[in-house]
Amino acid sequence: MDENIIRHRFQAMGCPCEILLDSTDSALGDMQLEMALQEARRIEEKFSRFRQGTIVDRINKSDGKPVEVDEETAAILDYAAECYEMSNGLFDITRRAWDKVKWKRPYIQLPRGFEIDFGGICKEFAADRILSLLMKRYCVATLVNLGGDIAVAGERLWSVGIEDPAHPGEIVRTIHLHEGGVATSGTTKRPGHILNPKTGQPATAGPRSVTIAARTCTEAGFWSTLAILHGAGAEAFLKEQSLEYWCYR
Amino acid sequence: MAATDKKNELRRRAMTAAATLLGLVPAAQAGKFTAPNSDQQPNLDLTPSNDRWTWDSSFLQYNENDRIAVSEPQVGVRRDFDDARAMTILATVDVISGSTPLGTLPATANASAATVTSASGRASNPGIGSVPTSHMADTRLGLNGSYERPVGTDSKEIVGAEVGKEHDFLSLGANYTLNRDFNEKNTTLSLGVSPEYDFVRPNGGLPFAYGTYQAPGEFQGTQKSKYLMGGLLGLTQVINQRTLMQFNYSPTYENGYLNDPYKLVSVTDANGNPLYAVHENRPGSRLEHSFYWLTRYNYTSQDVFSLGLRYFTDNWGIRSETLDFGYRRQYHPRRFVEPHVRYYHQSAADFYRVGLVQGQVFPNFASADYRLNSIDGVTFGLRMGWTMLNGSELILRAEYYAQTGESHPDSAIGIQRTYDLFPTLGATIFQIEYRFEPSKIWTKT
Repeated sequence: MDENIIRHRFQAMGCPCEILLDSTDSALGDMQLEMALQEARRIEEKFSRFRQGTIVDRINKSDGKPVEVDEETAAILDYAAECYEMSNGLFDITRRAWDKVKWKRPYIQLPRGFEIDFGGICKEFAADRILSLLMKRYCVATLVNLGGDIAVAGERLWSVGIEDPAHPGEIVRTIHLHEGGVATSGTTKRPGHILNPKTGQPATAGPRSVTIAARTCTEAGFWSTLAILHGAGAEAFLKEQSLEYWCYR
Repeated sequence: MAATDKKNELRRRAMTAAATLLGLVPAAQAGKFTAPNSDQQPNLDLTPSNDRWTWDSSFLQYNENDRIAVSEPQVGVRRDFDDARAMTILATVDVISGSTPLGTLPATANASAATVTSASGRASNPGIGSVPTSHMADTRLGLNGSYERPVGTDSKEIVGAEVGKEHDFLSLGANYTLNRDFNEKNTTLSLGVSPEYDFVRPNGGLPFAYGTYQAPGEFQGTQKSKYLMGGLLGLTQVINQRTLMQFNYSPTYENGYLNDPYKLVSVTDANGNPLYAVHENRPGSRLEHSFYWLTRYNYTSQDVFSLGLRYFTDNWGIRSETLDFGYRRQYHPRRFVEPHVRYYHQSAADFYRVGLVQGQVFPNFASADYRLNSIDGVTFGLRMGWTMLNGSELILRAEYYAQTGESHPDSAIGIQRTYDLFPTLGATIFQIEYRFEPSKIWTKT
């Protein structure tokens, strides 16, 4: 491993996380870690489905009544609406109910009995956000990894290993990143956690892991999730989009 | 191809949606976001906010061998607002001292040159055969402010004002520039005007043109003025991913008192012995045209070559060409080194005279100011820059300038032909510059 980088590991959003900095200045590393931790916690706490009183909790318990949301939540809802449209309804944060949701800034009205889940967006969003905050403060090459959702920027090429879905813990491929984001979706660690909203069933017969490189981690996350939802047709779909992707079955 | 369009459309939408969420594009513009070609490395600006203060401080030391020395501290601050407006204020002090050629001819064994008292005081006693100079000391204060703001989505306008003050000089200037982008920002057109009004109040009164030097009472009041009107027509064009070109045409018209009140012209006898000196006499107007062409070529992202060519001409008969070649090497993400070499050639003004001869009719205009003579100059320079972890930047610059001219011009008379009338001038420039954003240095988490 390169001796000239600082690596800090931490736990956030239910995942092992890390930041890497192209620096040997440990004081700088500590400050950047502190900032990364704060932002990760903030996003985790704000958009948690499980905590009482979060914005997501209030929407999910609104019992069909409209809920006013703040600007950041509105931006995520706009993004979710766009993902729904772009994917012809496959990417759905409500699991089969988005077409019944009334969303008009700043009010969202969720039909009774349904829930929203920002889980498919938040981690990638957080990776990009944290990277942006860190870079804004110190322009040293940085990699942010939140449980495999990665965002990088700065003058350095980073090597990122893709875990072999068939042999957890082993690297099947190493990719090199200069700027942008990488996201991996799969059916390995939590089998079937991506549900096809059209069938309500876990995506089947597709690759066990899909890794995408794109301009931002958020964007990469959209494509990797969508690819898994295409099941057996994932590779064909990705190929058609001319994306940079790595699929493992 | 319809399928390709549809594919690109989806990718563009996904890119735009993510960028919008991350605040990289304002929501209002999201619809117009155009994705770069997929084979192009996207340049992600991950700093959504543009709101910042930037300070820039520098110190420059210019030293000519045995002549003028200039110390120039400078401090500037730029305030960028989130909506792309910006304000800049720059304060400059120039402390100038040393000796500068008066324009008169060297003393000979038969005749001393006009013994000289200078603009700001000290007399010099030039030896036989060497170019007389006068000692000067002055301080110039400059203050410059500008304000820029976007106009619509494709244009930006900049208005500025500046004041320059020396003990015998006051300059008031203004400028306005409009930049407009075309062709998906690959082309930028610039239009500018810069009027200026100057007042000259020479030490000891205002000399008459051709007035005899040190003749008592030969003054025409105390103050004169001139105005300048500068124009700018510029085009910046992205040629391809690696090449950028810039063309500028800048005309300038000056009218009023254009003499240098401290420059003299020697009047000699037929053998070249200086008898006395008169004040110079330049035309009352000048029209200049300057053409500039810059090409910048990114060989790799670490290696950038630049070539600048300038052609200048005016109705005083001066033509000049400048060629500047630079290479910037980014040998580390936060460090660069940039050597450059510049060549300059200028032809003499039509009314440039080495000296005047007693008994002959004086020409309509005459000046012996060496800056209006033909000049060749070569500069070798090196800049080095370091960016700190907190984003601040330190830049060092060192340059050596060598200036040569006609040492033995054909127009010299008699014994003056044996003297070096244009001694080679060497000058060094050292500059240290530090730029920083206070918020990045002192922000606490």
